[in-house]
Amino acid sequence: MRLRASLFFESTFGLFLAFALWESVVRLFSVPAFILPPPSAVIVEMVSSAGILVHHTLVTIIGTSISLVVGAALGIAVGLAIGYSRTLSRLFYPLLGGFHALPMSAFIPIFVVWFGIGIIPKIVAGILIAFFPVVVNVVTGLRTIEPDLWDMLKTLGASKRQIYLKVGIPRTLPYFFASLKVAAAGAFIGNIVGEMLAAGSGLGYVLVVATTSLRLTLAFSALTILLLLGMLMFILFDVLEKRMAPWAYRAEESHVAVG
Amino acid sequence: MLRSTAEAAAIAAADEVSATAPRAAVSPLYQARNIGLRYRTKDGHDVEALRNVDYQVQPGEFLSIIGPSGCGKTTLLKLMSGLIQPSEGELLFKGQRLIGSPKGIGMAFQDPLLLPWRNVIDNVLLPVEIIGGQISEYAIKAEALLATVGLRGFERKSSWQLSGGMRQRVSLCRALIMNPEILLLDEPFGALDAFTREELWLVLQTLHGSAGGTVVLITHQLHEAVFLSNRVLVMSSRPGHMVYEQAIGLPKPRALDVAYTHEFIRYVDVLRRRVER
Repeated sequence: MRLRASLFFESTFGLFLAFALWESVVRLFSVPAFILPPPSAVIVEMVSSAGILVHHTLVTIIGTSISLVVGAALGIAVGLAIGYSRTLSRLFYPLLGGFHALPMSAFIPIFVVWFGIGIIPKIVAGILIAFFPVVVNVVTGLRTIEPDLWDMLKTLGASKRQIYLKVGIPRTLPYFFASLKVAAAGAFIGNIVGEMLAAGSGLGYVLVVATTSLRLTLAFSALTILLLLGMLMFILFDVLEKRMAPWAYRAEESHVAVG
Repeated sequence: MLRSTAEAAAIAAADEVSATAPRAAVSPLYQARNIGLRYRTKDGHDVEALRNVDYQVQPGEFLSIIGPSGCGKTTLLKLMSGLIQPSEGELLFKGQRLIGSPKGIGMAFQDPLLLPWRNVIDNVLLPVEIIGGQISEYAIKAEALLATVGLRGFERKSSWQLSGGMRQRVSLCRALIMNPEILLLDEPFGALDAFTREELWLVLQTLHGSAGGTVVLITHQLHEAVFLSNRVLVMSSRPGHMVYEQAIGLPKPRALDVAYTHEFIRYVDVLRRRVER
């Protein structure tokens, strides 16, 4: 708990420093407000438009969460299948890799054609972006079982299934949690871009509408909230990672001498 | 856990009668005849790892196999554990051709390879889970083994709390939990410092003494081989084959002091010359 409190204060302080820098730059160089509003003006706007911003923030958060949960679940399922079966791996892993390179955001117009304007295209985009890092990490965790350990278990008569259940899956846990950070960011991005291109709500939508009507303070309000959400997600998953598989990180902390 | 009291008596008698006499010739546990092993590497090269390998392993003995790096010692261990088949010749286990892994093998490697998400005793009990034995029965044996290696009280600790030497002790307990007839060790002490290594020699000697059974130890440490073994085989460099055999006539159990006596050093010297050749 102490660690969490100090982490919170440190990141808040970091944010405060960044804001202080932003304010100073704007004042120092007399940057016009329609190009880059100072944080002071942004905060005022955030307070006055609080109602709207809260609504759209919730839309983004809910969409991101759905994308992340579904994307991670799919990622685990596919990752386990590919990690387990050599055949499936050879058939589909390179194909997946190819899809990973495609910008999912570019597919959003296609999703709109398929699903219409609304929340579905953005959630689907979020799922597809979140899915890949989870698959890759789960597969890596399964594939890197030490060969000697594998040999020893085989001499005991262990089946492949037993080895995967007893060694593979626990082993892949820290890899999975590490990938959640990236997956969360992916779900987030998918949703925001989807909101910008083709939804009626969400922070991405606010961003686009505010920018095109030159209400920069509102646009920056949305951006600031996005930044804060991003930070929160990062910290949340970082802590989760260390909590769920403490044994993967304790080895670094151990102060036992060799021998 | 020797196979029969008659065998136990025979070996004990042999020990008492004469420390330097060769072992009573009971039928061998392993018999390797003219074994060759060739394989193709990923980049298409053909490697001949073993050629004309002949040797035996007697039940109850502690056998070390030494040789230069890359001579095929680990390959030999894989053959003995049934993981691979020879390209030529035959390997008999208890008189039968070895196909697949025989029941009753314990293995330990240079890397203890403990599962970090399990505590010590759960690591020791892993083979029991794989084979489907009764955990409650074996838990007692696990605790006894841990006590023998000096880790009483560490049962619930996590492996990250242990030093390398302690982890290797846990690895040995895991190898022994199912009462294996044979223990195959691949340079288990290679990653440890000299002091820990000597401690673990004594631990291994105690384990072999109390559990009986047969041990085959692969090592490149000559002192280790001489200290622990009844017999040492020297392998040539690749393609590996046996070039020399030395019975170690020092009485057991051996204290660490014995490693500094003239007789001991002479054994080491003889082996050293054979390995370099």
